[in-house]
Amino acid sequence: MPGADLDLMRGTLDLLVMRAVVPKPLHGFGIVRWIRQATQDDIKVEDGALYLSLRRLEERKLVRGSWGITENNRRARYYELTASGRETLARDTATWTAYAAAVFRVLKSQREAIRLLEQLT
Amino acid sequence: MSWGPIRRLFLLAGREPSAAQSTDAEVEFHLSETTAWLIEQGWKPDQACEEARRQFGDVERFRKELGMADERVQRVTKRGEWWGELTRDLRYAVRGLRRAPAYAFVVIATLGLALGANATMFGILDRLLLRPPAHVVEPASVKRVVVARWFETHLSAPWSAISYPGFTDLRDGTTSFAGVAATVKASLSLGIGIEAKRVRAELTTGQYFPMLGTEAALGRFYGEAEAAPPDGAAVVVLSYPFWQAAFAADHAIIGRTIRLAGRAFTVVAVAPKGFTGADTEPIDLWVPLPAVGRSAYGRDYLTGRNWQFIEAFMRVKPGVTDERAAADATLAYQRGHANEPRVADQKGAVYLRSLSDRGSDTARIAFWLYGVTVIVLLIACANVANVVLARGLLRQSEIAVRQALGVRRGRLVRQLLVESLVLGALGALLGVGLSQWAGDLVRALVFPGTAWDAAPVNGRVLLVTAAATLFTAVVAALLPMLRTTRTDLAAQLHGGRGTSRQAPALRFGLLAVQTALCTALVVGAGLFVKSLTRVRGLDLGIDVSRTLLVSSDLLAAGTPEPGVRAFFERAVARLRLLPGVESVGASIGAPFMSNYAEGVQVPGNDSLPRLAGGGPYFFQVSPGAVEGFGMRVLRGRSFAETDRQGTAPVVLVTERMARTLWPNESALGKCFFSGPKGGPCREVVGVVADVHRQGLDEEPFLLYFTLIDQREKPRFPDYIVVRTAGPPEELAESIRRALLSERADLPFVEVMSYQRVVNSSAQSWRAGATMFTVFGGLSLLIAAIGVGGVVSFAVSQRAKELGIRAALGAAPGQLVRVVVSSAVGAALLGAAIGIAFVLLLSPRMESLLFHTSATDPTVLVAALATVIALALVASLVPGRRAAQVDPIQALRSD
Repeated sequence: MPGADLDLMRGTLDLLVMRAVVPKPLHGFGIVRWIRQATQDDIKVEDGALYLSLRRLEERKLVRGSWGITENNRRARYYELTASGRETLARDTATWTAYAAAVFRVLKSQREAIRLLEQLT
Repeated sequence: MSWGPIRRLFLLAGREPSAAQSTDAEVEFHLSETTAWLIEQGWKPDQACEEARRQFGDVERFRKELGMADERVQRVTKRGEWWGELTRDLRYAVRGLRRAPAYAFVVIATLGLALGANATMFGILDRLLLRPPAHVVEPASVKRVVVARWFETHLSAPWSAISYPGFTDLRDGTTSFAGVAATVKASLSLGIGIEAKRVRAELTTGQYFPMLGTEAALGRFYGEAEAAPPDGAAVVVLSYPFWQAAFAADHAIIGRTIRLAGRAFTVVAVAPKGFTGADTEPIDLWVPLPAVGRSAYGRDYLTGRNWQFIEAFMRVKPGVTDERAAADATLAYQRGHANEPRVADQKGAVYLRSLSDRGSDTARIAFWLYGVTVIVLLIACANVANVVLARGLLRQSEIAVRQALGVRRGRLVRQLLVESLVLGALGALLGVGLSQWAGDLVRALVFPGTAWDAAPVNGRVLLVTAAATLFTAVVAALLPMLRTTRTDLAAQLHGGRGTSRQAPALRFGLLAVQTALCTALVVGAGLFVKSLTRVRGLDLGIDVSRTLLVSSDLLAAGTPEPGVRAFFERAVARLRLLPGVESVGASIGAPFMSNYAEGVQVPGNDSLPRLAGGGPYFFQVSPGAVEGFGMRVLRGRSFAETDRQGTAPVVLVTERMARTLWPNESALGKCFFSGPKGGPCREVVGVVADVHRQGLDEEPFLLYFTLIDQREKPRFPDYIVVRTAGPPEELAESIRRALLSERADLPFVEVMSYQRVVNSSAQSWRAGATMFTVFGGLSLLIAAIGVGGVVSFAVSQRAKELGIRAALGAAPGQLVRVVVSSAVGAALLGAAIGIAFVLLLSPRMESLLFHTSATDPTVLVAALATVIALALVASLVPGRRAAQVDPIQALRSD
């Protein structure tokens, strides 16, 4: 993944991780599976980066991790949204959608895109 | 079966793994889950494992980064959890206490009283002993000078009064000091006539303020120039409270003049708030000693080495040890006195005392009293421990259930600690409140004569109280609570009384400790009360109950000496006519005020016998003063109006002087020389009962009385002594008016009741008696609550047993004995230990008592009787209920 996109990607990843644990607490593996499924494997990210994202969120007290037991009776660390995580997710989702919509509006017309490319080259 | 759901149900998470373990476990879990999933998707196991690692990314790098992040997260969450649990524990504790209000009340009230007493006395001790005077720069290097005098064979105990030349010896003959100053405390008259007021002044030499390093709040302090002998300058420094009270904190006061001792003094400065000089007594104003010295102390005070009435303070130079400084000062002092006829000062030794070392009896008593409050606190601890233990028994099933559910002991202990701290904190809050109120009371009633600048409760008091509270909470509440966590779960849960067998023994021990300490305090109270009674019953040789001392510093107000003498004569004659006055006389010096010493030669005796208290001392009086003081003439006659200037010179001697000088014969008709050489031999015409010279506790000394008019150079009197027919205080105002009608421009006329003068000497014993009695009473009260509580608990705990006994035909008396015996036994044992404790400690206390042995048998017996009687009453009141136990009821219950 190109380095320039890192910040943007990080923010996006954090958002996706938070979204992943909205329905119910999940462990790290569960979150990976959820994101893969939800994005149909379009977002390619190393699993480790996802765990780092979880730590960032934990430090900001947006998610809370605690040890629990899986259905297969294995110990796993479950993550859930905190109250402020819920708030942040709601706010960031709104911001993100508006932002993405604006970007999309600008970039969506083919002609616009071609003119842009011509100007740039 | 998995414990998970059950654990989750009770919110009992397992032990949290460490950060590193947690990271590793999580990564392992992730990799294995991914592998399993990949295999499910059709991967071959070994490839699946590789693929899982590939998808994860650089495992080692992430592991490291995650580990670091985890540590940060865990630190933050731990702190959060800690607070969360604390608030939970607090809420739990408060809820528990609200469910048991009687228990909470007893514990908090007991702790509150004890902590309050402790805080109050610490506040006083802090001011008297621990804190140096305010606004003194580097107070540790400023020293108070005390001089031990050589008495024939030994050095006396040092005291602080020295002469003005003695001070200049120290100032000019030493090299170890950065500043040397002297002060005298005096009362001066502010204004004249009917509006005159008395102010507390400190007369100082020039280096006083520079030596202390104090900065004026307003204006500038005077220095060497203004305080240069012989007369100095008429300038005055006002104390902050006096400036506020008398001049409404007027900032334009600097440069204004006030009438002090009849003269105009210019206000040059206002001292900073809280400044009381090198001491802690309240002072209204400071003036240079020479400005009033000559008029107040006569012409000779600057040169006379016998005029020992000032105190010196010296600042040791940096780098000089105290020992070297003291040796330097001693050398200078001895050099200065080398040519003196009296050896006492020639071989005197100078000691340097720190400013906070007041060395006064009051300070020492305050120290003891603080110790007493610590004992009260211990008694309260024992009491609270007993109550907590009793409640612990009731709570055992609750605690057992919690333990069975898997609440770890550490968690439980924390909860109990929080509960005991809550109790302690509430007690401390009550105590500090009490101390805020009682502190002022105690200061005013028991420790007057100290400038109490700040509120009774200050930061240091709070700090000490907090420490005391922590100690109390741990000792009195936590330790006994901990016992309850060590119980037999099975027994508890099966409904039996799993009471550990040691609990009664522990309660018995606590009760004994409590009674022992209480007994010690009651003995202390008894000893001080006895001392005070002894002091009150003391034969001072004068009758203080109906005697007034009247004085007015006319001389200081600028009246020349003959004028002063004339006024005193007129005043005595005027007061003699006042209704309610029995006898009046004038005197130079007075018992407990000031006195004089002079060499005496007895014809036929080469040298006078020496007594431990020194002498011979003498008072000069006018006829009528002997009766005015209420002195008793044992043999011969008193002075008469016919003894005057020109007639045969006569003296009165005390019984002790008569017996010492003429052991086997009558003193009457004997004569001795005193005063300047070549004077007449004065005939002893009477022997009076021994009179105290300056204090209540004195070594034997020689003392005689001469007539003012029969001296070579008669001085002016300084006191008029008035003996009243009725209560003396009632006459004070008419005496003041009578004197003002004689002369309208009089400075303040001081009318002191002798009783008050003597009372202030008895101050330390009174303080001891009052406070020991208060604290002794407090401890009795607390102990009574303790004994009563234990018995009443025993009654309810043993109701079943009592019921069986009653059913089997035990008499009511026997039932009462069952519940009362152990408490009374503990009290008896405690009282015995307390007496032993007193016998061990008392030798250290003896010096504070007045003619009372610290092992005084009547006091010991009375204290023992009090404590035992109290224990009996306190245990019988709840104990009687044992006789009323209804067997049927008792057996049915439970």
